[in-house]
Amino acid sequence: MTGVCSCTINNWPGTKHVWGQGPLRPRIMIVGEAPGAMEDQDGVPFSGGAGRILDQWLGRTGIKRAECFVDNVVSHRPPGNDISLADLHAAYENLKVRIRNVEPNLVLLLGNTPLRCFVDGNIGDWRGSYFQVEAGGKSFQAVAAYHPAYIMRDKKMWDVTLHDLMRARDYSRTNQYWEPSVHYITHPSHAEAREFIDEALRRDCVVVDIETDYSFAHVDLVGLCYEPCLAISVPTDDPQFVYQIIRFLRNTKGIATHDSIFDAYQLRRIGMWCPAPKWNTLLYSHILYQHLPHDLGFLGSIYTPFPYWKDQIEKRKEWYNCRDVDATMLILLKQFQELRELDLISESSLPSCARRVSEVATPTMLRSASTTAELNVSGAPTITTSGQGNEAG
Amino acid sequence: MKLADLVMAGAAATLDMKERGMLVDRERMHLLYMEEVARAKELEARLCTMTGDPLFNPRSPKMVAELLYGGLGLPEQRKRAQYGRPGSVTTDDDAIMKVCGIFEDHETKELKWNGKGDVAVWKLGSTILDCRRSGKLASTYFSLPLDADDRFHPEWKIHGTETGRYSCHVHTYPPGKARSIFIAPPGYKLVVGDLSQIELRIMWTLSGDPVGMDIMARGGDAHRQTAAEIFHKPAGQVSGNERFSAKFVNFGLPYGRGPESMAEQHTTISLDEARRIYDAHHNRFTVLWEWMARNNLFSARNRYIANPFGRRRYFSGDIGAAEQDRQTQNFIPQSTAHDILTHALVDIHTSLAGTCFPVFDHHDALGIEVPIEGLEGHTAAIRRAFETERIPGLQTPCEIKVLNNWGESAR
Repeated sequence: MTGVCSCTINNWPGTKHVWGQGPLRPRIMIVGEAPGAMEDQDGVPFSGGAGRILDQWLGRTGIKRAECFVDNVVSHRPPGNDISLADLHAAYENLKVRIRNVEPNLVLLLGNTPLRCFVDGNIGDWRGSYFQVEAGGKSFQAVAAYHPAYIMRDKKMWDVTLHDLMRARDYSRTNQYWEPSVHYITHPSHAEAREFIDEALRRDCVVVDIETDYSFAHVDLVGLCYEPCLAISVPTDDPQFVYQIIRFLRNTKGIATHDSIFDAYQLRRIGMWCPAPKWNTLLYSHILYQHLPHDLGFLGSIYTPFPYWKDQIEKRKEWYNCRDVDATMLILLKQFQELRELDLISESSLPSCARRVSEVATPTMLRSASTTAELNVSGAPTITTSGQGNEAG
Repeated sequence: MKLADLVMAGAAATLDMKERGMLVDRERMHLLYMEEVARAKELEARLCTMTGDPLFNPRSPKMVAELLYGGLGLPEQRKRAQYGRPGSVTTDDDAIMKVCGIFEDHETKELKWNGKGDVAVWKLGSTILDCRRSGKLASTYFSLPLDADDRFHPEWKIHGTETGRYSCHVHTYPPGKARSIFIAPPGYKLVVGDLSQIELRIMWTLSGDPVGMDIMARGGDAHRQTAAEIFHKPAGQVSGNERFSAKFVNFGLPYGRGPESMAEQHTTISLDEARRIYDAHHNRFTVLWEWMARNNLFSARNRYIANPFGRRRYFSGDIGAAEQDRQTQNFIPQSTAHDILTHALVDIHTSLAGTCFPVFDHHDALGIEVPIEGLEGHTAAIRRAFETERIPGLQTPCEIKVLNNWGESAR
């Protein structure tokens, strides 16, 4: 895709137009921010230091650069590497047209600048997310990852970025966006809550998560999940719901949480005695990958197919509560598998659902991610659930 | 018990520990708060006179930096460079101690002059540090949010460190007065069990160093005997300085502290002397040093190191070789000590449930509320929990202190 530069915007004097390069209808369209000094000189996107890192990543993840269309949001090198917001918005429109013309199976967004063309968020939160974007009236699959220039400054996230690229590689096999089918009961009736808790009491592992107000003084919602993609968010503003929650906590065979001390302590503090959690995703994450972040958003980006959801708490708190417990369940199942592989957990302490892990084929990595041989990223998840949802995520 | 099971059992005990909370002498806390606020004000006034600036604020890093590095022309101190970026200018306590010739007396905690540099500068630096300390004592240590039963419920962060050790506000309490606000409830004593010299024992045992193993088998003062080995003289003839040097090496090794650090902290030891002491230690404890070198090599090749319980420390990013070696040396003893302590916590939590109540974790120690009735038997059970052999060949003797308040443990 080359030609005579006709840019009316972002065409700074003395800079070369760096055309996107690669075949049309590629598996992946890689989008960076703007050309650097080397790119400006060569006229080739990602030909400088960041390009060398990108090439290494592509090599390590088995993606052929020749099969990708490589481009930047801005086609000219901005003076002082500084782009005004107005210039950027114009460039975003331009980028969407190019994506529509190139028609990739998947768009790989490297860094904040290309991400913000589609999402109001930060790359630190959104990296690893698999989601759908609109360009020129057509939908495309997208995955976000850190920009190589960021990793050049902070290599801690090198292995994580490799994971994100493998996720992009696997989803780019087709151009069909895949969305997990979930059943979240967000505003249950008394009967629904009772039925859900009846079933939860029959299970030996139920994920629990609470939502509190800003001061942590009041527990608003208690989320429960006993199998992937099926969750309920029970409010605490009604005595019948409170009774059901207490009935569950008193009689449960075992609970799992993301933050063992916080949730259980908050419940005990408001008079809902809560047993000590038997399983905990945050602590397992600390055992498995102590050098990486342990927050639920990060673990969700590694172990679940869900795009970043932690910015949804204000908009739909009940759905958010369900998503938290659902994600925790998926993470837990994968962690059980990894802990077993490392012989760090006894079989007797595993719940029966730990044996069903093969049914939940979510992308994962991360054992010693310095060697790609150990990375195991499966294809699209094959999660199915039964039941009718009153709100699908 | 496998690691994940141990961590979850430890979390259950910690949840109960948090729920029970630490009993605080509310009146004493308030009194100490008032004392420290008054002292900080007095020191601030004194600093304004010393500097000639009526608006001088010792808590402002900018003003302190201008005074020390600008006005007095002392050598500028910077934080450690990270990720290829140079460290920023710092006026933290260590920096002030270094440029103002201050050292802290380990016994009395007084800030003394190390004999280097100007006495007036030392006086200024130590007043700044004293003022900061008083302010911190008042705002951080004596302003705890208490419940209706005068209990403080700390935030125990089980995943707070990369070695597995818990991190908590309580860990920052300096020994003595500050800790004295934490008391035993009526009818109870506060029993503090501390794994003695645990990191040193772990290193000697895991390396199989014959000299270290022999010292452990003989019992007694490990640092004095280490000094006897290094300086080739009977333990009875080891001087105070020699024992201090041996102690510095023993405690410094797990933290990657070398001769430079020894010379910096110990005013009477030159760098050459410190190097000779380290060399002598190296020559006498050869097996230990070889073990550390093997660990460093393993960590360099595999980008992780594991302790005997299977807990791993991964190294990723731009960490330099020297820093990776330091963290490798640090990880094994610290994480192993913590996992041993968690075993003890879990044992006490389950075997003495409803009778004795663990209320805090402090590095290699646990604080437990124990009823005065049956104190002896309970203390013996606590000692057993600490001293049970968790790693073949590793003895973990425990020092038990029976206290009315935590401050007494400094005595």
